[in-house]
Order: sequence, then C-alpha cells, then structure tokens
Amino acid sequence: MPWVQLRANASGVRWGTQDLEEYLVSPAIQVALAGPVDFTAEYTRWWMPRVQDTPFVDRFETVFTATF
Amino acid sequence: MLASWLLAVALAFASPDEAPPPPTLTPHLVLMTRQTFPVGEKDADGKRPRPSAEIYNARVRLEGAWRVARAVLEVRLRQTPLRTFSPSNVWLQQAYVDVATSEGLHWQAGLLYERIGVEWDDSWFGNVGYLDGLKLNPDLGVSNAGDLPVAPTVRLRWEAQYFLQEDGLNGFYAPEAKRVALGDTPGVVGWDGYTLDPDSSPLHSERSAVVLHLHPAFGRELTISPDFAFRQSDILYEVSRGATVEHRVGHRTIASGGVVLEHEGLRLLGEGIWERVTGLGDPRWSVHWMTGARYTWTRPGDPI
Repeated sequence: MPWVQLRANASGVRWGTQDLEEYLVSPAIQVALAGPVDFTAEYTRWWMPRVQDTPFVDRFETVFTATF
Repeated sequence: MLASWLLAVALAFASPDEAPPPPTLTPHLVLMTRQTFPVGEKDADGKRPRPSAEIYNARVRLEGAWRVARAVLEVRLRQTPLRTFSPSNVWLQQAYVDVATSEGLHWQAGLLYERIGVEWDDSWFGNVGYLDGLKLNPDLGVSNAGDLPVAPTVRLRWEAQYFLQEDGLNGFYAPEAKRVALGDTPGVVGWDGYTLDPDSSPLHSERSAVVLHLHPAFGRELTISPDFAFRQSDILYEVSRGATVEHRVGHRTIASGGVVLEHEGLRLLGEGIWERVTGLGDPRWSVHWMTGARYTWTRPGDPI
C-alpha cells in the first residue's frame, strides 16, 4: 500500500574525557509506492562544534529500495 | 540460561496433538541504491567532491518457520566493504533461531542484535549512536524476549541477553577529525587507528556482554513506552602477538535512559577503550542522545 513519511531525526554525543561534542541531524522524506519500491530523500548535517577547523559535513542523498 | 533455553525448546516441540503444518521457507531480497550529492564540502585540493552513485547494499534474507520455531538468515553484500575494518564486502548481518513458547516468550540464539534503547530511528544515513557502534550491532549470543499483556492498557516487554563474543562488525565510523579530537595518536604501541569500539579494533575483543532491556508500553491509541537498559561487557586487549591478556580496559558500558516514542538518552561509562590502554585516566561518563519525530500518511483504509 502506498504511504508517505516525513521524519526528522537528531542525535549527538558529549564525550566525558575529551572536550568533544558531535551532532547529526537528518530530516528525510520517504515515499513508498504500492509496489515493492520505495524512495528516500535525506539531508544530513554532521558537525563537531568544539573541534576547531572542522567543517560541517552536508550531504543530500537519495536511496531507492526494492523489496521482494 | 542455557538449560532453560533447552527446556523451552524441548517443551515447544513436544506432544503434537495434530499433524503439524509443513515447514516454510520464505526468501526476501532487498536492493538499495544510493546517490550522494555533497553540499558545501571541499576536499584537500579545495575542490567540491563529485556526486556519486552506488549499490549501497543487497540483502538476501531467508526466513524459515516450522511449528513454534523460526530461523532467520540475512546476508548482505556491497560494492565495497561497509567500513575500513570490514573483512569483506559480503557478511552475515543476522543468523539466529527463535523458538516461541505458549507463554509468549521468545528464546533466541545465534547472531543477534544487541538491544539497548531504540533499535533504529528509520533514518537512512544513521545516527551518532550507530556510528559509534551502539545500534544495530549483531553479536553472538542468546536472548530471552517477552511481550505480555499485564493489564488492559499495559504491556510488559523485555529482552535479557548474553553475548559470548563480538562478531567484529558494526556500523562504527569515525572521521579523522573525531579520532584526533579523542586522542588517537598514531605510533602508540597497540594503536590501530580505531580507538573507540572493540568491533572495529583488531587488537581488542569484547566478550561476556550482558544486556537487560525493559520497555513496557502504556496506553492504546496514545502509547507511551519508557525504556530502560543496562549493558556491561569485558574488553580483552592483545598486548603482543599471540598473547591475549585479560585486561579490563574499562569498557563497562552502562546504558540507561528513556525512549518515549522518539527520544532516548544513553549514559556510557568507559566508552572509548583507549582510556585505560593509554593511561589517560579513569573512564568517565559520556552521554549519547537521539530524538526524532515522524509523520506517516497512508490512504484511508490502507494498512501500513
């Protein structure tokens, strides 16, 4: 059956021994058709704010999944 | 636990009052393709990486069932190994036997996922917990799981697991900036470049992991599921070739936290196996969290 899902996830960690924090956010939309195929478009930003000269890692990814 | 498991298996197959249905074997094939478009990234030469496309993975999953027993075998393959420490681009993701008892309990043995908190957030790329080797981490062990209604609006659900040995593979991934920030110093004796997770390290092995996971559910239309988990394991550190020294390096991971639908907090003691090995000090708490929201639309009347 067809369905559409909107989702937004965020995760992170703060390490106790080192002055390091890390965050990742990944909003996405996933569309499943009536057949075996679904499609996901997901944007990801991953960054470490306390680490100097560390850039944001930004990616836009699309994933096709076929399940039989 | 083993004796209980064997007893449950024996009882589950005993006293057939009627002709049992024939065994079934159901194959599943999943194929994922991935297209990546870097945004704002630049490589060492200051150039923007080019978009890429790949077969992210192909999954062959076989599910067999006979009476109260079920067997699952899932093999995955990729164009390239999943991680740099992966032994191959073909691997076993899960392989276990599940026996259900009439009381609603499940006894499982084999290559199983360790269950702490939210198993997955449905994202494709992954979350920080997964990238630190905490989520969707299969290891060799046994598990008892239950899902019992104890009141009209209350279900008691749990997993009690014991893992003999890690399997050397999970989703652990740390870019160079992270490893450097955590003190990864090439050249230190015993250093292998993967400093945070025993599955990824050829010099460390994780054994005797105990996982206790309780996640009751309250309510019907609005369900609230607080989630509590505890995990502890031992790490063995191979200090020289051929000699495995039972060296507890402080990876006693304690995970406790809550999942109320979409939120989870994990506190881990000793995460970062470099601490004792390099003498940097006693392990300290680190805090993982994960949160998310989702909305799913289906055509009225359609199940999802």
